[in-house]
Amino acid sequence: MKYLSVPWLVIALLMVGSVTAATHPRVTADQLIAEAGEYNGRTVVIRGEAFGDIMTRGSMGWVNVLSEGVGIGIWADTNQLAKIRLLGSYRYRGDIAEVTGIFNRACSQHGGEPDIHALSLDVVEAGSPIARPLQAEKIRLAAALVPITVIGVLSATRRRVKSNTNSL
Amino acid sequence: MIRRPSTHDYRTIAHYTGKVMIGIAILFSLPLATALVFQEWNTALDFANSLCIALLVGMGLSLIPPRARSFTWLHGMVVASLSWMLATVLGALPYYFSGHYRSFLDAAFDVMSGYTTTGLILIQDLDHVANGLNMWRHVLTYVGGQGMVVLALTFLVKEAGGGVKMYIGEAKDERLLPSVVHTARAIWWISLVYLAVGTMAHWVAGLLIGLKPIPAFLHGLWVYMAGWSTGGFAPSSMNVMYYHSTLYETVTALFFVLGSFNFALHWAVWNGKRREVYRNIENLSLTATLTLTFTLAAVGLIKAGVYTEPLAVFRRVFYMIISGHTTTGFQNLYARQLLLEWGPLPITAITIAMLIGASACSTAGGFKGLRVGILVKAIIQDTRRLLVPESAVVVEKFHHIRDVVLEDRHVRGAALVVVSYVALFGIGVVLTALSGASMPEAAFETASVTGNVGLSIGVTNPQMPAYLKLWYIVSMWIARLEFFSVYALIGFIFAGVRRK
Repeated sequence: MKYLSVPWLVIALLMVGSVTAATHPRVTADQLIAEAGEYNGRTVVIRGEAFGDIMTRGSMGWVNVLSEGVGIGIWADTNQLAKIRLLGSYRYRGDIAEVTGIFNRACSQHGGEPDIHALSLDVVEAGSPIARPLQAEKIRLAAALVPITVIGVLSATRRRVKSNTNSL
Repeated sequence: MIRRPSTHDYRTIAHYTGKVMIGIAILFSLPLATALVFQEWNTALDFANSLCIALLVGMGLSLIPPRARSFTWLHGMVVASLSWMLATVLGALPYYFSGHYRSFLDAAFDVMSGYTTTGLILIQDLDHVANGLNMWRHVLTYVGGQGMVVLALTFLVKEAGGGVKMYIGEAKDERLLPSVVHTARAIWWISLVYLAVGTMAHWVAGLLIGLKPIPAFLHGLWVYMAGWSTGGFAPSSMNVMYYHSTLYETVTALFFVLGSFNFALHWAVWNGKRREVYRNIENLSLTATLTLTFTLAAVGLIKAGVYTEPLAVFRRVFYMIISGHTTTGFQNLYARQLLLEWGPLPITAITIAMLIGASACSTAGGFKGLRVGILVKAIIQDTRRLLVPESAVVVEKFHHIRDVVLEDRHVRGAALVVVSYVALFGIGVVLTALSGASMPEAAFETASVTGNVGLSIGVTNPQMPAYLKLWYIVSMWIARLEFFSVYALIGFIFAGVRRK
């Protein structure tokens, strides 16, 4: 009998999970701003690149995520934030985090700013370094400009020294 | 009779414009050094190449010997306005080379926005920008706030003969010291002292809110530069929302308010005249208009019911109003929130605050509190004249560093500039509305451009029409120089090309 109950339990859990996921809308930051009234106070799911800095404040902290080019602040506990290894910057594409949390259009805890208080945070795609190979055309331009500029500066300096000497 | 410019005029203008361009070239060394320190090699090459081009242009022009018999007001005005335009073109080079801009026009837009301390941006992917490029973004707003002609006068122009005229051509008319070169150096001295103090304050605030030491320093330096210059650039696309901190916003507000004060006021206070802070007509005028616009915006927001906590209302409204009134442009909410959630009354209040602006001879834009104060005094004076016997002499005074008797020339000067601003604003509203923006959006964004503020309701974006980008560039430039330098340049060009 117990062997029959396990599959049913699994099926039941899956059904609950899918219902739960279905009731938490997947949104972008832009949607949250545009339809703030509709999403205010609701649990939403948002996915975006974690970028910049993680700012720890006690047992909690902030990370900003870029959701289709728009940044929004995620308030989460430090254990959740610790899952993020790479933050977006000049050198790196940051981890893509999926956050389930409560959207506040004017968070009373945080002085009225729009934010998401995370219930869960998972890294769904690891970040990676951004390749920035030296660009040959920039090197060629520098190779042409620098000597001309140096000659120009030396020539102008010599002219000025000569003109100062003559005026003495 | 308008005389046709002579070869002497062209040579004089070219020579001094060249000096200013050499200054711009030297400025490139700061972001170049930053890029080298952080091993951002492509960025380093961009700045090295831009430095070379700017230096060659500057040296080439300055080698033309000035032969004008005298350095006239016209020369000063034209050098000021032409320098700004040429500096924009040269300043856009590293932006364009970086690949973060769709076009050279977009790059030039951001440079002019920086130099004029406006703060509107078209840069793409700001959150993945090199430290070297971010250094340039903030340095150029810092230099623009002080005035690049002021910079050239301080370090590069030994002969002071034309200095006054170039200085005034850049819309700085306060003389802290008898010599304009010494005045320029005093302005820089004030700015550099505040640079040290302000960067330290922002750095400490950054550490306290959880930033690591190096990012806290860089953010601190850049946000300070942008705040003091009332520029409003920030190293993140989220502007000051990035920090999620009342403390950080308070520190930024302290320094951008200080930056919006008249340099003459700073000098007076530094020299012991502390009563200037509350006697000065500018501060009185700005306090009155700040109180009025804040009240209007707060009432509107409370009615809209967006914020349930009084502190939240105060923090959002006060910051946005003071950011707009000082023409800084730091935003602690999204551009679209202004349009979608704040409603017409708060938007109108911020628009008015942006148009009025802050203090003359500061880093700020707008009509200026001094002119608003003078015009109000003039209205009071003329009203009193109607009410007293005709033989009575009505004297009105105002206090600006010293007591000044209000004369018609003060009123005329203030009125001409305010009328010019209103005309520029009107044209901008029409052109913006033609792009598809609603009237409130058009008025808000145009006030932001005309007042060199930088708050955005969402109109400014890389997809906006090219004609509007061009108009905003010209508008920011004209407003920053307060019109007459640009009128002089246009007149100069017109006189040069007409047949006789």
